[in-house]
Amino acid sequence: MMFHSMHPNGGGDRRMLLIGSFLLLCGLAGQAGAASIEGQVTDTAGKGLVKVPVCLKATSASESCAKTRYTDKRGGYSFKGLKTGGDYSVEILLDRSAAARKFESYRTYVWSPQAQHVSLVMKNGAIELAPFVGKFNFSNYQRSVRLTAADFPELVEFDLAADYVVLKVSFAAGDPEQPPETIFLGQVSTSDQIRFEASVPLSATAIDYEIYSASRSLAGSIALTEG
Amino acid sequence: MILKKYFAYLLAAVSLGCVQAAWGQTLSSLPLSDVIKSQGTGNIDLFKDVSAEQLEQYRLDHGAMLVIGVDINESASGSEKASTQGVAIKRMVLDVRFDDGSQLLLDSSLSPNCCFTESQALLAEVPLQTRSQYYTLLGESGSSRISSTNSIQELFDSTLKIELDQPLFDPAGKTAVSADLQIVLLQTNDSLGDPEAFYDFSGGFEDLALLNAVDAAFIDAYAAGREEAPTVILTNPPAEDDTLSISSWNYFPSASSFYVVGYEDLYPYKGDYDFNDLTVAYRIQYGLNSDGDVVAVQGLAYLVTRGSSFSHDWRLAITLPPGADGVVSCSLTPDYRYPLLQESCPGQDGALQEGLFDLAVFSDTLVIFPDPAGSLFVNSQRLYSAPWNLKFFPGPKAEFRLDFDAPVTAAGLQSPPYDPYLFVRDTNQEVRLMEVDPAYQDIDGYPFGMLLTDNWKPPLEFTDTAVAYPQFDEFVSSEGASSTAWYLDFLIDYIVEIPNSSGWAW
Repeated sequence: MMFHSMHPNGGGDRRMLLIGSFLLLCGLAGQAGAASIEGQVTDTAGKGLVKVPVCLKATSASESCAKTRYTDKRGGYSFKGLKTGGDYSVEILLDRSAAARKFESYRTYVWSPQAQHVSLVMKNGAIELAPFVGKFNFSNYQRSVRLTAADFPELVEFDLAADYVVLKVSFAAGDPEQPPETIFLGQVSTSDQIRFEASVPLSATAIDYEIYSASRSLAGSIALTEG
Repeated sequence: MILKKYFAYLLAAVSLGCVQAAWGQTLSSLPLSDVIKSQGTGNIDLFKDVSAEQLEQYRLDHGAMLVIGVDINESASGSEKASTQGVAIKRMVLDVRFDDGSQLLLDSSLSPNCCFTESQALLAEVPLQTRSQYYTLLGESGSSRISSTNSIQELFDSTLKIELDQPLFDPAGKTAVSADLQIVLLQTNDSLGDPEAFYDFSGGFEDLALLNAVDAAFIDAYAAGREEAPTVILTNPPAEDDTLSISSWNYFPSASSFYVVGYEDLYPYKGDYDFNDLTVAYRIQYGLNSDGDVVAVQGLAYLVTRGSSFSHDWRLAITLPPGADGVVSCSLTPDYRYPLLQESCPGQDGALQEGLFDLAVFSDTLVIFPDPAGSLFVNSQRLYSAPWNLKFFPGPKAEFRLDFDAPVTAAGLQSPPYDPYLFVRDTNQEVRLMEVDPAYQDIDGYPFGMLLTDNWKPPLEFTDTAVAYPQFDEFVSSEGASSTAWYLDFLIDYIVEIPNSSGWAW
C-alpha cells in the first residue's frame, strides 16, 4: 500500500497549500516530421488555470526546460514542432527562480504528479498517458487518502452477503489516552461499496482497521508512506 | 425518505387506533415510577404503578407481550449527540410471583428470545475487545415530534418487549402478586471508541413507561436516533433494501475531531494579523448506503473566537455532482447554556444550487456570538480577572444536513476540507482559505484564511501571529518548506489559552 506523495518531485516541503489537478492531453500534429503535445492544467473542479508555467524537457537532456509555455485562458498549453520518436517529460514549473516566482498565484500549489513522461513514438495517432490526478493536499496538517476494498485484504475471510460485517477504520489519536479517531464505521455488504476518502493528520503513520462479525474479528494496519 | 417515515408511523398509529377504538378500549400508556439509574441498572417494581389486572390489559393489548417504553437520556460519548443516543442491554429479567406460590422467571441470559428491542449491535463489554451481539435502545433528546399525539409519543424513544404467554390476572385461576423487572445495561469498552463509546451508558436516568399498542407502534415507527446511530442491526429488517438507507458513515476529519479554520477579515489589508477575527471548527460526515454511495452529508460546526468589530457570515461550500438535488436543513443553537433553544439557520434556503452546496452556517456573527462580559470581542482576550472571571465562552453550534434525493458517488463531491469561507458584512468581501484560493494571500505570502489544528491557541487580540508563534515568519517565507510545526511553538504570554475541542464542542 502506498499513497502518493503530497509534495512530489523535489518541490521542497511545499505543503502550505495546494489545489489542483493537472490534466494533460497529448497528441500528434498533422504536419510531416513534427509532433505536438497539448494539454490543459485545471484545478480539482476541472476549471482551467491561466498563466501556469509549463516546462517541456527532453528526457535525455539536462534539467533545463527545452521549451516553456504558459497556459492560456482555458488552462491550455501546447508544444509544437517536436521531433517524433523522442522521449519528453512535461511538468509544472515550480522552481524558486525569479521567473517562476512571478507566478505567485501558483507557487503554493502542489501538483500530483508534477511531471508526466511522454513518449512520441508515432507520427500519427494517439499517445496514451497515465492521467494527471490532482490531489487536494490541503495545508500542512492533513493528508487525503482514498481507500478501497483492496486495502482490507482480510475482507475475503468474511461472508459479506450472509453475515452482518462491520468495517471500522481509524487512526491513533494524538493523545494515546484517547480512543482512536474513527474515519469510517458501518456495515459492509459488498466489497464494491468500499471506496471512500479519509483525511488524516500528517502526524499519523498508519491507518488501523477492524473487520468483525458475530463470529470473528480481524484487524490490520495500513502504513502511510511518503512517495 | 422523511415523508415515507412519517407516513409509515402515521399509518401504523392510525390503524392500531382504529382497532383499539373498535374494541372500546381506553388503555393509556403509563409512566413508571422506577427508572434505570445512572449506574446502568433498573429494578422496576411494576406493581408500584399498576395492578395485576391492569398489567394483564397491557399484555393483551400487545397480543401476549409487555412493551416498555424507554426515554434515552445519555451524555454525549463517542458520536452520541442530542439527535442520536444509545445504550445496550446486557440482561433483562422479569420475575412474576403468583398468588398460588408459583413463579414465572424470564431471564434473557437463559432465554435470549424472551426479551428484545428493535435494534442490536456488535459490542465489546469492558474490558474485552471481542464483540458479541446485544440488543440496543436508541433515542434522541430535545427534538419536537410534530406528529406525536401525546406526551408518551413525544418523550419516549425506544421499546423493550417481553413475550409473556401466561396470564397475569385470572380470577378463575392464579393472579400475579408481584412483578419485578430488572434491566442491566452493558458497560461497553468505550476505550475502543465507537461503536462502544456510542452505546455506553453515561448520563442520567432512563425513564420507563408501560406502553399501549398505539404508542408502541408510533415509537417503533419513529425510530428516534436510529439513522445516525452506528452499526445498527435491525431486529426486524425490511424486506427490501432502501437505496437511501444509511448503512455506514464516513467522517471528516474523524468522528471526534474537527477542522479548524481562522480568518483575517480586513482582506485585502493585512490588519493586525492576530488571526482570531473568526475561528470556526467543523466536521463533516457522509451517510453511505449499501452501495457505498452518499445519501446524506451532515455537518457540525462551532464558533470558537470572534476577535473583530466586523460581522460575518461563515459559509461552507461543497461542489456537488451535476444534477445533485436534495433537501437542506440547518439548526443553530446560539447559547450553550440553553441547548434546547434552537433556531433555523437563516441561510438554509437557497443553499442548494446546481452543482453546489453553499450554506451560510453562521450568519451575522456579531449578533449570534456576543461577548457575555460586554466586550467587543469573544475569546480573543484574557478576561481572567474580576469582574469577568472568564477564561472561555463556548460559542454557538450549528448542525446541518443535506439529504440527497438520489445517491451520489463520493468521488463526485469536492474533497474535504471543502471551501469554508467568510463573508464580511462590513466590507462585502469574501475571505477564503489560501489553500482553496491562493489569491487570498498578501504580497509576502501571508494567508488571510488558513486551516489550523483543533488544538489551536489564537493569538491575543492585536498580537501579530508571528509574535505569538515565533516560527511562523520562517514558515511563510520558506513557503511552507521549513518550520512546518510552527503552530506547536507559541509564546504563552501572547496567546489565549482556549480549551481544546472538549471545551468548545459542547
